[in-house]
Amino acid sequence: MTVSFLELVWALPMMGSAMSLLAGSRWRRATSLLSISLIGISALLAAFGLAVAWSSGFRVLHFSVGWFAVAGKAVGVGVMLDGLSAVLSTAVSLISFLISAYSYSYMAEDEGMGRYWFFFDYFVGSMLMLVLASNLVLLLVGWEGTTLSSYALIGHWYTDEEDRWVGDKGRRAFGVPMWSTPSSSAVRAMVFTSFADIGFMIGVGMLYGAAGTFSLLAISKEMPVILDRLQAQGLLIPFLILFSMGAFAKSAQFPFHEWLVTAMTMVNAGVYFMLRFMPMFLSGASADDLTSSILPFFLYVALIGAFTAFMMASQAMVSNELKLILAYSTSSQLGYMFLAVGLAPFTQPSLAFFAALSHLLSRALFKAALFLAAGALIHAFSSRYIKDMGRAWAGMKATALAFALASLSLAGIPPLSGFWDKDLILDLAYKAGIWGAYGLGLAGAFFTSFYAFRAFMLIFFGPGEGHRVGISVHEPSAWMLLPYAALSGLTLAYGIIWPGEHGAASLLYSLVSKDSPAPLVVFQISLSPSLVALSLGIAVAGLAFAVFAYAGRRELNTSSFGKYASFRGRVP
Amino acid sequence: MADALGLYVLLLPFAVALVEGGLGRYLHPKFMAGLSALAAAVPGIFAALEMISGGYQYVFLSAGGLGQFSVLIDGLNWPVVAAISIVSSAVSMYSVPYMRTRFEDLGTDGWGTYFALYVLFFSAMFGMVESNNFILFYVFLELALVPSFLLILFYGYGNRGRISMMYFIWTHVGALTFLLGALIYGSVLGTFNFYPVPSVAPLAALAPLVAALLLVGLLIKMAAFGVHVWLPYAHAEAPTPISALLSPNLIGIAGYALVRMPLALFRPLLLSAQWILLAVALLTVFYGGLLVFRQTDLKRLLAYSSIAQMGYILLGIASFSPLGIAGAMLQYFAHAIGKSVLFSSAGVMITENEGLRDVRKMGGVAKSMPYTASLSLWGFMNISGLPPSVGFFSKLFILLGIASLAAQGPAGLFVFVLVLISLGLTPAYSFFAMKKVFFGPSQSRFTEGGLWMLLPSAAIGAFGLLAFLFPGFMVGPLLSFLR
Repeated sequence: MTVSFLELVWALPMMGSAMSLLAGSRWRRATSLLSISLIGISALLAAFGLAVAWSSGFRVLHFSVGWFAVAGKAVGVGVMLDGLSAVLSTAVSLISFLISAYSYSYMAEDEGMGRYWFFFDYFVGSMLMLVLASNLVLLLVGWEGTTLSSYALIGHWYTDEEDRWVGDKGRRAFGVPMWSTPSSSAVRAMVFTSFADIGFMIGVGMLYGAAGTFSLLAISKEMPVILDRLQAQGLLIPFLILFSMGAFAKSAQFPFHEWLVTAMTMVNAGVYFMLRFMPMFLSGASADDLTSSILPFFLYVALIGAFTAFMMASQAMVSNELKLILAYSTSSQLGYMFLAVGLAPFTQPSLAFFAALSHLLSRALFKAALFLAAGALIHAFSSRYIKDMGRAWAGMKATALAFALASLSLAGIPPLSGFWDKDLILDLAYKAGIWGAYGLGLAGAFFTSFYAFRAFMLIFFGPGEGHRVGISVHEPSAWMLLPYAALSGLTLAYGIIWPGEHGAASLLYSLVSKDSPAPLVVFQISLSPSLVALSLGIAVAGLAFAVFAYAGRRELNTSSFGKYASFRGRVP
Repeated sequence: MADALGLYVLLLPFAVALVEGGLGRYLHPKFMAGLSALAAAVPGIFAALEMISGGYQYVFLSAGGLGQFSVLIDGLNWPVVAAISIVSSAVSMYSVPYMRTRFEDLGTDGWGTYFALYVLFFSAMFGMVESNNFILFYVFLELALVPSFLLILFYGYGNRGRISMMYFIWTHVGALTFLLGALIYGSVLGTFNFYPVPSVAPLAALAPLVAALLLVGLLIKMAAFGVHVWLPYAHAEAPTPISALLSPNLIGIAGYALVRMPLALFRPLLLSAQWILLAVALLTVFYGGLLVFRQTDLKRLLAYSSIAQMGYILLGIASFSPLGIAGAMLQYFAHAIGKSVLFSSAGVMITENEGLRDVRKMGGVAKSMPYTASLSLWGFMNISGLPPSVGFFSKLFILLGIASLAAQGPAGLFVFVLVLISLGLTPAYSFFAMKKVFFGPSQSRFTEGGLWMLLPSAAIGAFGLLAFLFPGFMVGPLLSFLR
């Protein structure tokens, strides 16, 4: 079966982007509806692609249109369908569709609406292009496309009005300003990511030099030869570091975390990259490569991931701005995924990669729900600070429920999706015997459930200081409410049907497989009960701590705990 | 094809220059602008058509000991010809509103002279690029130098007498160094041809000297680090349409010539100096990039970024790999597109907002000048290599070339680190400048430019997109030439 229709999955949002450019800010309603429906069609096509992949047993299918040639080898505008790209393109397009529907109402009054749709569609198109690309050049085009559109979306409110700022105006730590305007956040995002992309591109060059082709399929077949060649030249470690540098920066892993916290965007590209290439490296590595270069590199990935997960979660505990909490949380959750990837060679590799992919999916669902709900809350209270919010339960029960579901998933409470993945990752870290990573991950789990419910309690039951607290806050329009309600419903559904036990982990096996049908490997996922009890206990403890610390408060800053954990940097 | 048409196409703009110079007072400026645009477009269209059938060379004069003079279009110089044609053609339309304002400021009127010099300038650039012989190249080089010098002297800003003289002298230092090398070359070999590549064996012990003279001469023209002092003055103070031609196009030709002459003739010798070339390239990128941050004058800011871009081109060349060199030539094209769009935007600031050039007085400009802001963003995307601009491919190919240095072991890895740092500067300064000028709170109202200013620059920008969508049209011939 030809998979040519998959080209449309990324091309339709791109067309939407071009049309928004032409339409500008005229025909506002039509432009929005057009963009939304194009992304919707692209989601349907991607879902159909998933069905095709399923029915063909996750054999790698591809399709390509001629583009240009380098040294006699064609570089095409090509798509490749396998387990990973099928699952991720469906998830990305579906979530983008929900976000676009939300934006219909959220951006309705914005004067830069044409520009918003132009870059939003371009972002979605680039993201899907990078997930589906069958060669490195097209992957890079999508990759850099997300860089540009992130830049533009972060800096959307470029006139830098004060209510669009992030951070606490006037507060400095070690002389560094702790606040940021949209336009400088945008520049920071651009500088951090595109700096690392240069390393990525040099890595692509080294890979091309060793493989003589840009095709992902050919590279994955040639991987043993490529790795041997690089190893013989003593270049394997530098190559791995340079090549994955772009992914580290894009996923805001330490030390590239700086940009994300003020930026707040969807950042799945980096994890996709890790899931696309790390299995190839692992399966292609010979015994010699493995011990000398691959293992240290994976260990480094795992430790960086664990450290980021821990550090960013600790930041989220004390942050006072709703979106900032979620941004720290994003970076922290990506850390867990990097940790999972890094654990691969030390445990069952397929299981580790599966854990990372599954967590990517569940995080995408619950984090999108949280971000969208946050948008509605910020709008309702006309403030970005959780201290200005409070008693929202009265007027926004539906939002509260959606927020609670997503937060429970984030905190890792069963049966929500976040529970399975996080416990699987921690379980693997324990069994791999990397104690540092396990400890950081476990501590991060406590922090996570604490910050999630600290925000929840303060927003929906807290006393609040803002001028809108206590007067009528109410639900946003259905265009805004339904998307995040749907997303939090999905996070519950995903948790209930969690595929870990249904052999769906073989999706990932097809990544490293050759051109033939991947054998269906049914994993025996055996979470050890004592470890689950420990991590669940810790998560519940964090949750309970937050609930007790913040429930029934009449005034802010009265409890002794609040002195340490809540409102540093008071904002005028 | 080997008919004489290519020669006529090359000479046509000179005829146009004569007409405009002689009859300028009787002709309407817009008519002359259209005529000049046509004169610039024809050589580009001709080259494009010839490239479809694989290239063009026509020998029009065999001059004994001087060698053969011919018109040459092939995979290597085709992106350069295309860039000069696109930019010169569009900028001649842009000249009308810009020079109207400039003439008002100066209290003079000289449309005929302006357009004659303008056309002469780009015609000579076509000549340089399409020549195959040192004598021919040098003649055209001088022919390009004189009109550009006069354009700065007549219509420039600031202390234009001194600045044009500085420009004239510095480029002559470069040109004469180059000429000296060429003269030794020709007198020993008995031919001044550099293409088709003759055997340079008879030069024997003189070869390093010749190679060094050619190289240094071209590096001065290119404003490489250490010999760059003249560039920011000349390019910032030239009238803006001329800056748009000078800054990306003229200096970049030296990069092209570096590949065409010293590299093709003395490859082993240059290869032994690879580390020096890499160091110069990286220093140029780094130094130019850092100084961009310090600039408060918009045009000077762009001029310093041109220095950094020349470093890019040199970096691609210094990789000595076909991919890297192809990347350098693509970078010429991408930079020509991007920088001329940026200079045009700076020109809109100047004409529509009372000579505004000081970046500190800008900020929030995007609000009142959305089209100029969008065009500038596109310009910066081209020079910092973001898709969907052709700059993406030039950056990719340069880095593919650089990656081949990995074979050199630890030294190669050291270069990677430096490349990482210095190339990371381009998006940094680009988007930093973008923010300073266009974003932030609006300080006052600014006036957007008219169609005559915006359309030409949009037309130039469109080619950046086209070349991204159809990269094979340039990459293919380049790689098959370089292999």
